[in-house]
Amino acid sequence: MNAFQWTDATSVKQATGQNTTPVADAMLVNAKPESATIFKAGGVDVLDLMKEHVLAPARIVGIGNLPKLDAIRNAGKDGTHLGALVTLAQLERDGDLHKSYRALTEAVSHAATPQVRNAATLGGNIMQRPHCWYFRNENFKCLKKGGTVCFANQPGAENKYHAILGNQTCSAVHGSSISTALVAFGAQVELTGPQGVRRVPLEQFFVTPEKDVKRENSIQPNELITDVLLPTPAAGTGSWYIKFGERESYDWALADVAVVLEQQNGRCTKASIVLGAAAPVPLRAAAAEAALIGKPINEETARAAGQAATTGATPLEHNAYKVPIFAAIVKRAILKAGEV
Amino acid sequence: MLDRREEHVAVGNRPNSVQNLRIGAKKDGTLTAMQLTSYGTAGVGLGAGVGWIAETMYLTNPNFKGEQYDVLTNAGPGAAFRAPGAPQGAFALEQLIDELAEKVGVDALALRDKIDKSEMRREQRRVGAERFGWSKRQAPGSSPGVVKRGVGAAQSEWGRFIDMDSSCEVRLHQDGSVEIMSSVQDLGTGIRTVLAQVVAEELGLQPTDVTVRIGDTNYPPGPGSGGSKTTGSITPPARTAAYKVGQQLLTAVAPSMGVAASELAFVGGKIVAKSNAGKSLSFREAAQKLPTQQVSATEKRKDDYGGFFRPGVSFGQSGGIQFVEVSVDTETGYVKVERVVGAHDCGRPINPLALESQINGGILQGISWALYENRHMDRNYGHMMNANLDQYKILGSREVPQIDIIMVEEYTATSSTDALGIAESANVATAAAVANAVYNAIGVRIYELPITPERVLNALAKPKQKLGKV
Ligand SMILES: Cc1cc2nc3c(=O)[nH]c(=O)nc-3n(C[C@H](O)[C@H](O)[C@H](O)COP(=O)(O)OP(=O)(O)OC[C@H]3O[C@@H](n4cnc5c(N)ncnc54)[C@H](O)[C@@H]3O)c2cc1C
Ligand code: SF4
Repeated sequence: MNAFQWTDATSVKQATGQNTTPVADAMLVNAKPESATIFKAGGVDVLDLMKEHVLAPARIVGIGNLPKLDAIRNAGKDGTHLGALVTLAQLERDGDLHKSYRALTEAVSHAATPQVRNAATLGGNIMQRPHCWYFRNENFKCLKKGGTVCFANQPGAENKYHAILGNQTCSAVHGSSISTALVAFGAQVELTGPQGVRRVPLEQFFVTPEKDVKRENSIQPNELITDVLLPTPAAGTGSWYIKFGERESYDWALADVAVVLEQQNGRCTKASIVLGAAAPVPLRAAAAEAALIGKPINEETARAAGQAATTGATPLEHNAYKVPIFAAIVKRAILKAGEV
Repeated sequence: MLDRREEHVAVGNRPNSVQNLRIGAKKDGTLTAMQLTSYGTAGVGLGAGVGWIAETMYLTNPNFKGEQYDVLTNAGPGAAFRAPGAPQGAFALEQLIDELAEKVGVDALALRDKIDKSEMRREQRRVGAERFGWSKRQAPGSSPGVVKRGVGAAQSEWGRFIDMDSSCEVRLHQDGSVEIMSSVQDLGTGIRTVLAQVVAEELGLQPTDVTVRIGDTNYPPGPGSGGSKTTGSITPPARTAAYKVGQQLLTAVAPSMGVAASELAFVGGKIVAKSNAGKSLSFREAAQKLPTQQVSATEKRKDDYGGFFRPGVSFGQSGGIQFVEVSVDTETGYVKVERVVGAHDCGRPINPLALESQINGGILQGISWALYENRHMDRNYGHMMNANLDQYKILGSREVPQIDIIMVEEYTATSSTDALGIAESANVATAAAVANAVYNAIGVRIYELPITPERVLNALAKPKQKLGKV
C-alpha cells in the first residue's frame, strides 16, 4: 500500500470542498495518483483496492464522522430516509425496514459477513467498484481502467462470475447486492456537491459500460451521496430477495434478485423485478415483470416469469450456467413475495 | 513474511491431477486387474505423486499396471496439502469402485467387503454404516423433489510413518516439578497436551503437573510434522524417558520407605508400596529425597517391537471410511454437505478430543476441496486470478455439516504408546465420498473438482452416460 495523507472531514460542506476525485477516476491508468484525493467511509472497498495496488491515492478524506448522515428516518408518506453513513448492520437490525422493505433487509443480511456489515456504509456499498478479477489485478490495464482491451471477454478468459446481459463492452457485474433491492423499491439517491443538492433515481444513477466503461455511476468530482430515499410502498405490497452464491458464508452473489409485487383481487397489478450480478448494473427484468402483470401469482406464472427474466442473454464462455440459476431464483422470489 | 498473494503464487499448491483408471472384474465383483495412468502438476520440481492409492487400497487385485507422470508447469511448485497425492487418487478410485458395485449389482460396501483384505476397514465399514444409517440408502437419482438428498461413502488410507530421529529429555527436580523437552513443534495438533499426558501417566501425575518445552532446537531433536508422524514418533521415547526418571526416583526413596524399588508404584500423585497401600509418600516429598537437584533421562525412538514393516514406516496402514449425506438443488446446482460420519483408526488414541478435532479438520478441509477451492489461472497470461482469501474460496462456518466420529481402536503393540497419526488419513476420503453422494442424489457422476453449481448444472444438462462393460 502507498503512503498517503489523511484528513477527517467534519461537515458535508467541508468534505465537498476538498477537491476530491471519484475513485473511478483515481484508478485510471493515466491518472496522476500523486494528485488524487478520494473519499473513504467504512473503508472496506477502498482498502481492498489499495492492498491490491490498483488504487494509490495521495490524500484520503475520511467522511465516517460527518454528522447526521448515520440515521434511518421515517418521513411518513414521503418514505424512509437512509443516511449515507448508515451501516449495513444498522439496516439489518431495523424493525420498520424489515416490515415494509423485506427484500432490502433480506439483501442486507445476506451481504458479506457480520464483521464487514459492521463497517460497511450504505453510500460506500453503492459506490464500490466491480469485482472482475482482471480489473482488480494490477497486471491488467483493462478498458475500465482506461486501457484498450477487455481481458474477460477474450477466448479462454476467466469469466464464470461475469455478466450474461448487457455484456458486450465490459462484462464486470456490479458488486452491490444491496442496490438490487434498492432499485426494486424505486430508491432515489441524494447527491450533495459544492453547487448544491440533486436527486436521481438510483436506477439512473448507475451507468452502463456503453455509456461510460470507466465508471459505474454518474457521480461528479466533489460530490457525496448524502441520502437514499425509499418511497413508501402501496398497501398490499409484498417483496422478497434471494442471493445465490457458491457458499453461504462470506461469498458474493453469483446471481441475486429482488422482487416487489403489488396485488389486487388475487392478480398482480405492479411488479418490479431486479437482477443483480446479471449485468454491469442492477437490471430491471422487464420481460419478467410483463409476464406477471394481470396474472395471479402461482407456480406456473412465477416459472414463466423466471424463464423470461434472462430473455436476450448473451452468456460468455464460462457463465451460461447462470441462466437457469436466475430462472430458479426469480421464480422462488416471486412466490415468496406473492405470499403477502 | 509473505502476504496472501505471495503465499498463493510462490509457496506451492496441491498438485492438480488427471487420473485415467480402468478396472477389470468378474461378474461377482472379484477384481482381476487395474490400470492407472495419472498426471500431476509438480510445478518446476518433481514429485506430484498422485498415483499410488489405486495400487495399495485393494490388495486382492492381482494385476496392476500403473504409470505416474509429473507435468512440469511454470505455475508454482507442487506442495504438500494434507496427505500428498492421496485425495486425488481416492477421488478416482473410490468413485470407480462405486461404479463397479452398481455395474455388478451389489451394494458399494458389500463389494468392498469382498475386495478389501483389511480387517480394520471391514469393521469400520460395519460400525460406520450402522451409525450413518447406510441401509436406508435409496437408488441413485430416486430422491424426490427439486432438492435431492443422496449418500455416499469412500475409504481412506495413509502410511504409518515414523521418524527415528525423535528424542526428548525428561527432567525431575527436587521440588517435584517435571519437565519434558524436545524440539518437536505444535502445529495446532495438540502435541504439547499429548506429551504431558504420557509423562504424567507414567509418573502417576496429572497432565497439568508436567511442563512441556518444545519448538526450540536447543532441546533434543524431535520429528518434523509431515506425514502425520509426530505422535507416533515422539510419544514412545517420552514414555521411556519418564519411566527411567521414575525408576531413579523410586531407587532414591526405596530405602527410607523400607521396601525394594521394584515393590513401589506411582499412583494418584503418590508413591505407594504395592503390597501395602497404606505405606505411601507424596510425589513432592519423594522428590525431596533425590540425591541431586535434578535427575533426567534422554531417550530416542526405537524400532517398533518386532521390527519394521519397511524402513520409516510402521506396520500396516491407517485409514478409515467416511459416509456423507448431501443435498443437491437441481435447479441451481448448489451442493450442501449435510452430515458426515467418519470411522477411523490410528492405533491407540491418546487424547480422543484432540483426535476428533484432527478428523473434523480433515473432513472440513476435504469438503472445502470437494466443493469450493480452486486456483484460477488465466490461460492467456498465466496469472493466478484469485490469489486472496476473498476469491480463493474455502469452506466457512455456514458450510460446516454435522460430523460424527467413531474411533476404532487398534492395539498393535508396536511401541510403548501404540499411537499412530491421523491428520492426513482424515482428509483422503472426503472428496470421493462427497462425489459418490452427489451421484446418489442426482444419478449423474461428476468427475471434476470442485463440484460447483456450474459443474452440477452442466452435468445435469448432459445426456446420461452408460457404465462400461464388466
Ligand atoms: C468479503 C466481502 C464480501 C462482500 N459481500 C458483499 C455482498 O454480498 N453484497 C454487497 O453489496 N457488498 C458486499 N461487499 C462489499 C461491501 O459491502 C462494500 O465494500 C462496503 O459496503 C463499502 O462501504 P464502505 O463504507 O466501507 O466504503 P468505502 O470503502 O469507504 O468506500 C467505497 C467507495 O465509495 C466511495 N464513497 C463512500 N461513501 C461515499 C459517499 N457517501 N458518497 C460518495 N462516495 C462515497 C469511496 O470514495 C469509495 O470509492 C463485500 C465486501 C467484502 C470485503
Ligand atoms: S469485464 Fe470490464 S472490468 Fe473486467 S476486464 Fe473487461 S473491461 Fe475490465
